[in-house]
Amino acid sequence: MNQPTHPFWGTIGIVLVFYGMLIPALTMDVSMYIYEEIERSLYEEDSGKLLVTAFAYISRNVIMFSMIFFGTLCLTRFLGVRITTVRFQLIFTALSLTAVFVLNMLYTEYYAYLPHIFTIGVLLFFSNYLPKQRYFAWTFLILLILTTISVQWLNLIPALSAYGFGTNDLAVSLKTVDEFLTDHNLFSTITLVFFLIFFIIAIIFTTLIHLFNKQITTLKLYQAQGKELQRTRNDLIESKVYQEMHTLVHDLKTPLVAIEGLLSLMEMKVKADDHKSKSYFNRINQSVVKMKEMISDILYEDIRKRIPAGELLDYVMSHLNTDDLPIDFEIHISDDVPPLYINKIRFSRAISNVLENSMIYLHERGGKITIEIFTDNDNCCIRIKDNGPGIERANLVHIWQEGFSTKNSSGIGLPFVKRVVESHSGTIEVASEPGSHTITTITLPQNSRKEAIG
Amino acid sequence: MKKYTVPMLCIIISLAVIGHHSYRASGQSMYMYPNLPAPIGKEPILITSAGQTVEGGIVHKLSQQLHLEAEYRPRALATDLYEYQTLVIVTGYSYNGMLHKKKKFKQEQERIRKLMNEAEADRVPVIIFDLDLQYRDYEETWTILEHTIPYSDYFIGKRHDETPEKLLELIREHKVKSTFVNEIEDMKTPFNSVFR
Repeated sequence: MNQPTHPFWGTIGIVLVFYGMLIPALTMDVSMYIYEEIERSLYEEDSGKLLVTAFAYISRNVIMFSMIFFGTLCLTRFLGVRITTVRFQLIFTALSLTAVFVLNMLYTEYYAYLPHIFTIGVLLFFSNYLPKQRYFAWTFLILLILTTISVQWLNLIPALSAYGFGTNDLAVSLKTVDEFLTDHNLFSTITLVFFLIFFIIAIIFTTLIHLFNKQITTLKLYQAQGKELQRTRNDLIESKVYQEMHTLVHDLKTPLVAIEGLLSLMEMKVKADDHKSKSYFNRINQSVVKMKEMISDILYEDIRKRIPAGELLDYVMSHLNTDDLPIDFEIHISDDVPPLYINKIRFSRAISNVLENSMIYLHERGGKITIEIFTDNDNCCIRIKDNGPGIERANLVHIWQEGFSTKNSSGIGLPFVKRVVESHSGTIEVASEPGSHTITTITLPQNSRKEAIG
Repeated sequence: MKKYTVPMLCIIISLAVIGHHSYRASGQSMYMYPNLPAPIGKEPILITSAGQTVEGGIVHKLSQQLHLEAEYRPRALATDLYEYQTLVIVTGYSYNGMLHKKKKFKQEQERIRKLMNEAEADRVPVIIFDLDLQYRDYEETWTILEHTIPYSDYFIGKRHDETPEKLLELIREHKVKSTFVNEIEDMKTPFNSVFR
């Protein structure tokens, strides 16, 4: 419904224009009351009564034309025309004047076009200063009512009759009786005063809304700048931590080389028949090699290896502290899943992050996390589903922003996951039903290796 | 700047029309009778409306101020005319007036036509009042004028910024004496001259 092209606006537009045009027929009693009161004020020579009748006339016309013009605004928006464009203004003007034309065809009250052209002109001029935001329609309606009231009073200024203002039946009757009773003194002053009052209110209203919007915009800008500053600060901290970790990991290589060298020396001193010691040395060597591989994976992001999906999940699960947690893990790996061509350390960290996010909400109330790995066309999909509280729809669009978090964490986990997946030419999607579940799907192309090689 | 095009165009059109009216209104002059040189009507007077505007009541008020023996009967029929010696018709079409009197325009036309025929048959002088043709410049008002002016003896109207050629032609064609005044109050002089 917030969308201007929503059928709601079209329906409201048609209903308003339709009932606006039916006002003279639906409020015939009011018209008759106005006519009778004009006659009565003439017979009783009561100019006060005539003024009260003028108020009734203005009220009727304001309701009628506000409904018609607001209806045409809704219809113009429904047609999908953006309100900031000249096309919108042209279509709104054309529809509004057509509505007045049809009104004159239906009833022979002969409303003049000039006041309406003037109303539309003033209205569109003022509306340029209204913020084109969510509540534009309502601010426009208030402005429309104020402008219509002020211009309707213009219809009763006798001096403007010669210029095409107030040529409809009731306006002419009011002005003629006023001429007879007060020689135009009453309407010349009172109507001008009312016109000015409402016109000035319209100007003040537009100015206030415009200034208020400016303030809000400035405030939003400050907020955005603050967020940007915070993000940059986080980046800087992250970058520093990363750099330090990088240096530390790099420095681990030196003692490892020493260990490797000394191990080979020690191995040479072991007797040939001491199989037990040789087996120990062999296992230590394997561990050193693994550690070197891990260091390389961390230091060089581009390093990729073919790793079976099961091995990857075993590695991930071994690093998660799932003991004593009331969470059931279910793992399904399809038989046709080929080995994944990934940076083992970084990719494991990414999957761990997703799992940890699910576990945060389940570690107290318990639940179930299902991990599925399967192939889909030429892609390999990793789907992690939890039956946790889910993510609010409004928050779903912000989860990839660094620093965004609903649980007072650093807010860099999911952006990191996205970065890692994308560095593997993959995609990540999060779908969630608040109160039911969250599904995270990571898709990796199977031919990424070829591409990487190519 | 584009966003100001349409609103400025609307405002300029409005001002241009106003300016055009002022230009057309300037320098106009017209010669007319200030009032009748000799009376043509007698009392009692029947004042009726052709088009059911509230202006009929204003003419009735004028007659009261002039102490004329007049009755205002907006829906008077031809058969009512026998009681009166002068017929005053106040022209002007009012949509709401017609609704108030629960009449269709065709019925109103027929009533006026019969009234005019009766007045001509009975040689009753017919005076036409037009208080606001300039503003009630409607198709129906012109139809009423076309039906009444040929039978009338004297036309009293409000001065226009620019008197419509069509009205002048009708008055000239049927040799109707006419007086145009600036204000409603000024109508009393020519109205009085019809009887005194």
